[in-house]
Amino acid sequence: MTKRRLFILGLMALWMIALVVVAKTSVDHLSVPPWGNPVGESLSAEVAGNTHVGQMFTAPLPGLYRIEIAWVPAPIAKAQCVIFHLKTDPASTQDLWTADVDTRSVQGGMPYGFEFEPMRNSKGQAYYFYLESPGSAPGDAITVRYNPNAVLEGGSAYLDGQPVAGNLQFHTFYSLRTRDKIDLLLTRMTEGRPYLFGTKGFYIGLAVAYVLVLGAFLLQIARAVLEDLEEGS
Amino acid sequence: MIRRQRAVEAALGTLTLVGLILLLGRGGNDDPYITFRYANNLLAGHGFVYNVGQRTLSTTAPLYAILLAGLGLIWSNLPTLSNVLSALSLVLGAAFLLNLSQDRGHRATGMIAALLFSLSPWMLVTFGAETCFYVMLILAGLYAYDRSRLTLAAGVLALAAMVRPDGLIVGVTLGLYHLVRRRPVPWRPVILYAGLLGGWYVGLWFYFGSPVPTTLLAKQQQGQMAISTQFGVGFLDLIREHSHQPLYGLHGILALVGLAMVVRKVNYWLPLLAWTLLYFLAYTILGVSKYPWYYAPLVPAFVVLVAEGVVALTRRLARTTLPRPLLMGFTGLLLIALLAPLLAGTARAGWRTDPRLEVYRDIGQWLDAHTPPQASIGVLEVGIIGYYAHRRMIGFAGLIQPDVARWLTPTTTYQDSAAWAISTFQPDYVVLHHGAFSSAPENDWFWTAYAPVHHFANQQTRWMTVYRRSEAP
Repeated sequence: MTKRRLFILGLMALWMIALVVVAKTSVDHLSVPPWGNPVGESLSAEVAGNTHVGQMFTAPLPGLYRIEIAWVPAPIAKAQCVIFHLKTDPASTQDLWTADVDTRSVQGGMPYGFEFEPMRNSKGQAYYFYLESPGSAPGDAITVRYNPNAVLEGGSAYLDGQPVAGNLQFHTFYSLRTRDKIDLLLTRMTEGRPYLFGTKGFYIGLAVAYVLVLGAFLLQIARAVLEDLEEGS
Repeated sequence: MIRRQRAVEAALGTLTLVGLILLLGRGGNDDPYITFRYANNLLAGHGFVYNVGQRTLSTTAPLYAILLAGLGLIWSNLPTLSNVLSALSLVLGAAFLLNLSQDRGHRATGMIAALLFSLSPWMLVTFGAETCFYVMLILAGLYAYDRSRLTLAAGVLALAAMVRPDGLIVGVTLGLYHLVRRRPVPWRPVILYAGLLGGWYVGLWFYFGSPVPTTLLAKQQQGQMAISTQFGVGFLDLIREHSHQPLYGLHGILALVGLAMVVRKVNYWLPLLAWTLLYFLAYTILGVSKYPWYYAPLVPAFVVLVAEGVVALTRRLARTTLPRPLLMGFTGLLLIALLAPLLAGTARAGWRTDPRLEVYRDIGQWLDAHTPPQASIGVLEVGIIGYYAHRRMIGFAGLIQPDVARWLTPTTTYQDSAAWAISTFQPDYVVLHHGAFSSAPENDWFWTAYAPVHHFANQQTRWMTVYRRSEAP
């Protein structure tokens, strides 16, 4: 192999690495929108004493890391601690995650977010969260925004562990790794497409081919710049 | 050597075309669906109208609607067809930039400009609309003009002005440029241009009662509203936003260097630059509201300036003691740095589809299935819902009924225009976003006259309700 060819191969390799870094950075900057029920025109029962209000949902994506609930706080002077529980289903005896909230710090009208370590295998997994506040008295407790007409696939609001019509107003958030994002993008692209267009391998092949041809095109540009310079001089 | 270069260019063009179709082929914005409905009605034999029996020019792109109707005879999925046309136009537009520069002996500039153009997020956000096709026609016309094919240039640029009326700006620009730079007047191309456009606009006048699209008044009125930003101010906002991203900053710096080069030495780009400047001024003076697709026609001139900037920078480096192989390596890395924000924008465009698309389509299809064929529907954004509903539409943003547009003023909101349109036209069904017409006493008339019949949500942020009229408001 001549020195010149070796140089060009090295240059192409360097550019390919740079392009892969650029592609990875581009994918890393992508984010998925929150998922849940955006509207709650009614209010749930008060979260007080033995009454607890919850929501079942099926996570559409991997990396569940945050749940936001829209609640109406109790009067500051009467506010008590609220406990948030996250489980796989209402019958489960073990919490996946629990948090205590001092509701005096909660701003009215704003959604309150519970954040935890991303659950990598959350896609397609059923979850159940509920709020309880044993120390609160009826009339001085929080309520959760709720929509009795909302329909959510794989979801339902719960009152004292029993499903009720509609859904709470809530949003779930997902933190996807690079490979999750690529997989999600490929899944979307293959959806409903026939033959070769319905296989992820086709799109991976297409991307690889694009990067290689782009590398060759960059080489042509670099050469053309030098040629233009020589002609100009 | 030349054959190999052409093969690489063709391969990259083909891969870009296929990639863009597969990545963006199923996306879309709301406004282009108005044009699709004109094409659909033409195909269905209802005439060149939006609402059957109502001759109003509510599309900015009448020729594009006719083109879609023609192609729709072969492929009836107009939204996807239009996305494919956008991708094809983008790649062809890149090819015209490449050839224009290459034929002038500046191959590198053309290649860089073509590459940046084909991946520009500002072009990609217009997919589905007529913009890519329109820009491609203008670049084709400028290329033909540069090759002294004046009759061809006149024909192609007339087509551009038939696709969008602001295409007239490029004809005027080129006419002035020609008078300043070359004489005498080429009468044959001038007559062809004037004849085609005269016939077209007189035809529109006869058919619709005015050659000016109602959308122009609507977008101007929208631009005055307190919640809107006008084109010129929006442009400054965009520069501010992009200047925070260092790699876009690099684009900006190189474009300034390129501008100096074009003005001093490479003046075959002057017609493109002059058109871009006049286009910018026209849109700023018109005061239309800031929509992303209005900025797309600025892209060709911008990428050309960046490309000239890259060439100027490497030329400057070549005068130093930097060895040529290192200069090659540097040029490649510089181009990758320039491509980085564009690739990120392309990924974003493919990743995030318009959240309205799915929910609006569901609403339109529901209306088509559950309302009488003669029913009228009132809605803020008429595009997607109207396309799938196949009902008489009343738009609260003034795009369909020009009278509604007059209610869009600096002191009103879309709720005011909706209230006026509902009480005036009394649509049988009304589609409203969550929170519109709250239970305030001044809205009692609405709640007396209309009752909710169905809710739609997309599990993200959008919640919409269809209301049916139970009595006259």
